[in-house]
Amino acid sequence: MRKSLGLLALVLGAGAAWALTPGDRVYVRGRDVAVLQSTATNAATLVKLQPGEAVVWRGADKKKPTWHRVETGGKSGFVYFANLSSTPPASELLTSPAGAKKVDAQAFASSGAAGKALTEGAIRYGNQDEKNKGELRPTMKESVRQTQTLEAIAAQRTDAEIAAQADRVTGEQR
Amino acid sequence: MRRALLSLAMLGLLACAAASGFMKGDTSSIVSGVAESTTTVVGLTQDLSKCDQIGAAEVTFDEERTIGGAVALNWVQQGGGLLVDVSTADGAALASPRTLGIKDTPRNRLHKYLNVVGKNLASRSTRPTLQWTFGVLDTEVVNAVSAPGGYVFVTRGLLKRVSNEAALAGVLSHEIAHVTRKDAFAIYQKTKVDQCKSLAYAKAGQKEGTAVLRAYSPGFINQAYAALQAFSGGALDLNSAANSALLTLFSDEFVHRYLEGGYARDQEIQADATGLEITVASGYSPRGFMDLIGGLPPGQNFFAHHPPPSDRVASMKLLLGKTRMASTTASGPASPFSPFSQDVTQLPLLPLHDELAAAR
Repeated sequence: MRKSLGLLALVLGAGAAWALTPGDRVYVRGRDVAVLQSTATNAATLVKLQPGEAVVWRGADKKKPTWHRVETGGKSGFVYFANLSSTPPASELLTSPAGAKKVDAQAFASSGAAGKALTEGAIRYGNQDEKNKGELRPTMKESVRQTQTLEAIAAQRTDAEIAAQADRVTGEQR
Repeated sequence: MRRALLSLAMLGLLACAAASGFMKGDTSSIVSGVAESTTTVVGLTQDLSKCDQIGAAEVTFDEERTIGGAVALNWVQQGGGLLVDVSTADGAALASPRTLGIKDTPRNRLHKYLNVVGKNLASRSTRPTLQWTFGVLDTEVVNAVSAPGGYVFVTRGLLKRVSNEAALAGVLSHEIAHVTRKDAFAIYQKTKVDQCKSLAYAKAGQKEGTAVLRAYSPGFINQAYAALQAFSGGALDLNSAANSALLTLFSDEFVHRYLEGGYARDQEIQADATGLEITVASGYSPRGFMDLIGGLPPGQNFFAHHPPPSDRVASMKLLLGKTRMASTTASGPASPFSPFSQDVTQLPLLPLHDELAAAR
């Protein structure tokens, strides 16, 4: 039992207390998250939001408490609660000529760094002669080509595909 | 399995043993009793100081992505390669992932499906805008592994044990959690400092360095040392050609240390908790992952470094129960957005897509 309590302390150790009040800023998690006109299943979509976008929280709907009213860009509508977060996404530390600079998830997404595939350094690492002398298969060079192919498959997945997957998984809850 | 063991042995030869026990963090102690010229001692002291600077600097995303890419290549090679049908395009086209032509084959369709599932999960993580990449390694070993910067791999052997999409989501989410929590950084930062100091000792002719780096040629060590000499503080640009030897030194040893010890027990428990939150927030039942973990024999393959499956399942059950209770008691305000605040038993397991079932 003590062991179990220790584990619980571990998993909850980083937990924080939240005390949200209407008007507080909260953040979107999930891609193409729909802000609906009402909590009805067939409600019109007012706008779609992307990960890390901030919205103003107005509270849970009284009849359907898993739907929360939010305001964004002058519009007011409802978002499924699991698509919201009290905390913003992590910032990223980017290298710039002036030194390392922290940027939020939105700035990071539009910086170009976010779309980076296997870097030149990593490709050079895999292609060096010393890494391709053994009998292990695939070779490192082949591993580079396979990884680049995989990265292309990953990079070409569209927001629409991911949003459709999200709908497929969560559809039963709505 | 034989391949994995062989690979591990080869890595041991290449990267050499971790230098615990004779890496001197205290730079003042190195001069005592050593018959060296004052110039050498001063140079060594300065080099060791640079190593401490390199270790103290926060890892930038650029550095993370480069070291992560090198590590990912090791996982691909160690894992028997990826289950992809590779593009035959030239280097320039390969370096443009958004426009590279992809063959429409069952293996590539499997990866399309895997990446849609994985990216949906990652969009609910604390690092939703990384270029997440999910792959299947062509080995029977039951395994899942990640690399810094957003690389996540599962093995064909693991997929055979996955009977529904919720279980797959749980595995992917656990690995996503290691990336978002930057669990690899603890190993990586220490690796950087230790390897850097080995380099400094080797150049000073001290066996602490020469023994650790004996697998590398003098030319390679000179190249790495030149990069260390050129370092003037700030972020370390491992992507530059001038620092390629440092990237090799750090990557090889990181891979070696990870295979030797894996992540710390508390990191694994935390990754389970974070992963479970991502899984449930995405709409999957936590039961898929918990059943999968609960069904694993203790200490099997990759999971040898993890806490016993029974402990992991127990901690996840406690998490689910406690957080649900916290949302309804006065023990503290729970997040109104905690995915655990709903009845998670109602969430779906979802069947696997045909693409994945066919690959098994």
